[in-house]
Amino acid sequence: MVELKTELQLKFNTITDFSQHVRKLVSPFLAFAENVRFESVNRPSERAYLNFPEDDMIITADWNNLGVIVIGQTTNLDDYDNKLRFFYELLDDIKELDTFVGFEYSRLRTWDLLPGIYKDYESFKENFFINLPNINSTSDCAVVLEGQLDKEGLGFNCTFGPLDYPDDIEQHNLSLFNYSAFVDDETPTEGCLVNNTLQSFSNEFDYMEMKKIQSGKNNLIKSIQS
Amino acid sequence: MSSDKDLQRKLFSEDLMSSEPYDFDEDNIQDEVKTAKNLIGRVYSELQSNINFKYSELFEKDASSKSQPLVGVNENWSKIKNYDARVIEIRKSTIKLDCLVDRENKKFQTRLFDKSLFTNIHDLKAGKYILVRVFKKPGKISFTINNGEKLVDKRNFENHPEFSDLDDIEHKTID
Repeated sequence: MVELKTELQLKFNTITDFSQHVRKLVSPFLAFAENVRFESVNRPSERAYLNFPEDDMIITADWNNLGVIVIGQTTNLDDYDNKLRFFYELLDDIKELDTFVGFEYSRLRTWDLLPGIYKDYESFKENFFINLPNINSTSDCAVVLEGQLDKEGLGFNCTFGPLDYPDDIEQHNLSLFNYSAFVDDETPTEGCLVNNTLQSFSNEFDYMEMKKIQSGKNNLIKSIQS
Repeated sequence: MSSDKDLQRKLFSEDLMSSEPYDFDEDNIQDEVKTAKNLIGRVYSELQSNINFKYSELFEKDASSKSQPLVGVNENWSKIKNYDARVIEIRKSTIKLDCLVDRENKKFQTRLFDKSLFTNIHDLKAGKYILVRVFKKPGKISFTINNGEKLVDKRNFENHPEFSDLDDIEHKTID
């Protein structure tokens, strides 16, 4: 499996005095971030954007969201010292605010490539569709599965189909800054593109929750591979 | 008909506090009610669009620039690892660091680094907290040495075993 892009969004109950804290909260990371940007300055909904080109990552924080987007490999999302170190650090600081109440939900969206399987439209169509509507010039298709992962207690949406390279870079916004997730010459450009969305409504978010979400995602990937 | 701004001013601004009496004739009130309904409708539709927005849209202006080629020449590191560390000893040409290599199990190891890597660290002395970042990709590895005073969780270094106990592994390299 090749990890192309990952988005993690943590939605928490609104922190009404967030704008009073946000610049202090992000200050430890300014030595690593480039193009730090603030929107709605001095308004309750003030939002900070921290770009980390070296980490292929953008973090954003506002009064009810903390989010991160990463291009390329994330390896272990639940490892504090891995690629998401700054994200977890900022999360810890936000959780320590007096006005922080709890999470509404956490949502992980991932785009992964499974090289070698379902790499062309015709084979994918034959495998998954018996009576496909006869529409002229069809060139792309995907399967969408939605439901609950009972073991992990997560809602999911799993969309997968043959990668249409390079058009899917734009279609799925598989790029960050000015380069695509396929920047590495060794990244395969054929295979099955899988877009998973997993959502947890737990009012806590920590490593265990992340492990659970990660495990849910891995199970979805395994189901497609098998 | 009054404009939205007029109505907003009447409702929310100093006009409401002014001594000038407001004209409450029937036609005027109906107009104002219509305008207020329009305003509420717009606010409602804006709230709806906020509810339905995709979080990823926030990133789109940063995520790609259609005016520039998508494929660039960045260093696309496949692995990044961060280590909290503290300076144990400053030697003639090396710096000895106490590195937290396993946060969950509180495992530390000592590592030696070339002193020249630390010239960017102000006020370097024993006890100083350092964040070591290791970037890897096939055939390439890169270290950055950063001031960790605001990033390292100092609680992990409290009640830490004596440094001398770890001297036997000091020449290993971080993997």
